Amino acid sequence: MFDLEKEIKEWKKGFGKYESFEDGLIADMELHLREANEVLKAEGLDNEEAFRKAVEQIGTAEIIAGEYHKNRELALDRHAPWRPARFMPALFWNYVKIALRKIRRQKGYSVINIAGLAVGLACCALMLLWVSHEKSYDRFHANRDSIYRVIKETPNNDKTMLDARTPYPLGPAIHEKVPEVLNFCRYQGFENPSLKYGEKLITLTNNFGTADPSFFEMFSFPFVQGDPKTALIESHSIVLTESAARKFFGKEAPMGKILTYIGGWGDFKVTGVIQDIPENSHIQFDCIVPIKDIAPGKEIAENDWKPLFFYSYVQLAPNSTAASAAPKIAAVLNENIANLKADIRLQPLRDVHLKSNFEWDLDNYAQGSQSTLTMFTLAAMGVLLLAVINFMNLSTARSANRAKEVGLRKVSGARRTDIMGQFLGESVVLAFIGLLLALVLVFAGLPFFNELAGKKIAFASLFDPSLILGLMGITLLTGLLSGSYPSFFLSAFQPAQVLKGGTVSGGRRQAAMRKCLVVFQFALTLFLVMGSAVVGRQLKFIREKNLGMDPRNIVTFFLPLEDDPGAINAFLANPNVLSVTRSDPPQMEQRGTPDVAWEGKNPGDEAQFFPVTVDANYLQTFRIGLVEGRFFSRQFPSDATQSLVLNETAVQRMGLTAPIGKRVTIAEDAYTVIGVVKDFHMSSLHRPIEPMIIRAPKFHYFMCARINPTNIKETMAFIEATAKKIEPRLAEMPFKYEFLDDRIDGFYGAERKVEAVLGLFTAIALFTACLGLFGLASFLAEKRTKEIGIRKVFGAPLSRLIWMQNREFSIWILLSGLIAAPLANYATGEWLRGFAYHVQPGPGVFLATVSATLLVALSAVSVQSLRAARSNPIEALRHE
Amino acid sequence: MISKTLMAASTRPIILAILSRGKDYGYNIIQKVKNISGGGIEWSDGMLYPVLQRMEMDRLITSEWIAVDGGRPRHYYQITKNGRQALAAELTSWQKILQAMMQFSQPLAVEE
Repeated sequence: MFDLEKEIKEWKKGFGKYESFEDGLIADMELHLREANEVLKAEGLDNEEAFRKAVEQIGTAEIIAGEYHKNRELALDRHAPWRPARFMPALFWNYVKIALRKIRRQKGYSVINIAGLAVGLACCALMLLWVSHEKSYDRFHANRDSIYRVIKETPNNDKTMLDARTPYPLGPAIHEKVPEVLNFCRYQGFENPSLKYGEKLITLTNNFGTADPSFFEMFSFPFVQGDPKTALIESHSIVLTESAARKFFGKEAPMGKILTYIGGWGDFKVTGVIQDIPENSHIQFDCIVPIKDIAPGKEIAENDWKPLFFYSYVQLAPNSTAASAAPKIAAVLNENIANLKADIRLQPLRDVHLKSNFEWDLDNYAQGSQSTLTMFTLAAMGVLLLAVINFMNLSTARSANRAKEVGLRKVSGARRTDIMGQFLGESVVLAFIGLLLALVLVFAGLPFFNELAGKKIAFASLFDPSLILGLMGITLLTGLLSGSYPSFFLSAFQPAQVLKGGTVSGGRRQAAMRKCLVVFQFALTLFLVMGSAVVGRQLKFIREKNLGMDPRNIVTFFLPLEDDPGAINAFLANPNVLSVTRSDPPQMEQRGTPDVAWEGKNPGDEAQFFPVTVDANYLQTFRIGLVEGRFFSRQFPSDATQSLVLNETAVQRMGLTAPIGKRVTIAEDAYTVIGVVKDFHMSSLHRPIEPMIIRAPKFHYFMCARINPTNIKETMAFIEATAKKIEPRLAEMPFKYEFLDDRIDGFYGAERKVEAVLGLFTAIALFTACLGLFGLASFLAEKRTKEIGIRKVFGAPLSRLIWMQNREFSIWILLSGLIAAPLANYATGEWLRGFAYHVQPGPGVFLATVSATLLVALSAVSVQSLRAARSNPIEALRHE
Repeated sequence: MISKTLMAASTRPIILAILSRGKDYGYNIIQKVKNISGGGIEWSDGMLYPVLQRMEMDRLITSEWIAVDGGRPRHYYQITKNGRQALAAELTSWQKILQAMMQFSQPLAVEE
């Protein structure tokens, strides 16, 4: 009897033999067969005949399977079923789940990894903020690309000296004679001006600017009231910033109001109000007046080419270049000053803030430094790199945990690239979690950083599209870099080996790689530590160096005065005023004169000498030593006009063997050398002691007093009252004074900033590196649990067990020290070259830093070693 | 008797043409081909399914299982937008071939 179901079952078995027939396909065939069978039966065939015919019509399984096989080959070629789809990988969520699970299960390692990356990224974010702030200086001017500052370059004692200040008549002269110069503007700012409106006297914190009327045509400072084209044309007009106007006038309308300058420049009428000057402008002022109101006939004569006091800015015509204009400007300058062989550099406006490392420059604004910026950017990247290495080391070290996962994925058909993609993805996810944390860190740390760097950077500026995209780019790169080695390493596991339970993490190659990375990490850290140590030592050296004079307890103040013994005695009447001298206070800036001749001078010698004006009490007040001859004295009235004193460097520079009594001429005036003083530092230790010519003219602008350090407040009140009694004009303005040691401290503001920021980075770097070492140590200790247990059973003492674990780390760190020391020696040497007087960092500094770092690192490691060494051996050995 | 090569070349356009009239299932497709060609085109039934699978892979058609009237489920195939475009292209090609063949097959005009 024919059984259809049985026959169909048998027939289906024929298909089952071929693997290209999946269940669904066989179902298709079966349905077809049944349909055909029914139709044939309806046509009159009996059961068996209908079945046989239908089978015949369908064809043989072999041939059909062949066709299916072709399809399958093609599909495999196109797209394996286990491979992720193009846009949303099928296993994507699985990867995310696994990554989150790993973070949860290995909290310690995750914290080290994420915290390290977050700190590194936060450092980078801060640097990005800082760099973009520094680079944004003066970019807001519409004419930023055509404005240049005129820099004078003159030879000075075998070097070239760069001076940002140029003679007053230079601007108009080059505007007339040099076709490239489309417009010019001279500018200078005076610190802390006092102005009076009615009875209201206000001392402004920013500068009292003076400039040509073209100032507002060339520079873009937006006006709130008034007309930029005419604001500075009228004599005795003044333009105020909004906040300055508010200080004087409150809610009154400022235009047309009169302000009186305390100090004798007269009254000024308000002709304009501008928006407050942005922080990223190198020109800073609270108010600005026409330059002619203070310059010609007052401070400087209209056609006097000698004094250098103003900054000249030029706007070049379209299609003309600085290279073609500069020599023409130099020619104009040299034409007008006898014996001058100056060159001119035109400094683009955008370079003024960061690239103005000139001897003489605006001293009343905070300059940026390209080299400091580069240094800190590298330091920030270094910290990030340390975190990346931590990540790599810990991931490869902990890889045994994931070996089985990799093995299973591979067995299920994952290819090596899939595994690599998974691990890279994981590290990128971790990096982005780190970024979120980094943003929190930046938000919390920015005020602190602003204080260190002396900036006012807002957190919101980080969300400027280019910055945040840059930061995300860095994060992505960090993630990829951190994941690169682990993913490469983990994806190479052989599934058969790992699933059988073979060890994978102890491979010699991986261990060697880990060692190299740790050594590199510590070399980098030690480099920073060494750099910090040298910077610290140099600053200590500066603080403690004998300057050849005693700068403590000396107060300097403005008091224009003819020679007047009565005035001096008025100060000395107070026993707390120990000594008084009328002289220039030591300062950052000194300007030399080449116009000096002496007996035996080589005609080609262009030596520059630095004039210092003093009175008879100078040596006593500053406690400077006399080498030979005598100092100025009241007993010799001719001293004021006919005598001078040299310092040791000047004697050496002139090549004089017996200087006393020698004739020296300055310009046309002849003097006799009456004495030689010991060398002393007039300016910062960045510069060598220059040859000085000390004279004692009758008139002086400044007075310096050495006072008793007890009761300073009362003494200062006395000095103020006395000064105002002597010079009644001072009575109406606030009394300004400065302590000399504060002033000298101010010379090294930039270095202190370097010390602080570098110190911060070093601490972070050391912390990050130790964090990594700690993680690695705990892994290694874990791995050696059994070994330690056995050793303990055989009686090894605790100290030996700890040493056994720490020995390797010590060797790594010492090796890092060997690598870092020469590099740090070179780099700090370059930095120290910026100082004429500096420490010689011998091997001692490097040895000390290596020892200190070793100590810190070993204490991090020892926590783990101690724990492993103290664990009960039974616990360790019972594992099996 | 249609050659094997021509049969192979014509399978896909014919299936597309049938499906362009509405969704259909394997057995019915075969029947329609037989009926319309008066038995002139005869496919081996089993060979239809690999072709349908391949067309689905190429996204010319889609398929779904539908249970009709509570009876046994049937595997229905439906033409896609891609399939319609492919069909139009095939038709143009076949017309061109046919046109060329027809023209060359006409007797040469005799010059008087």
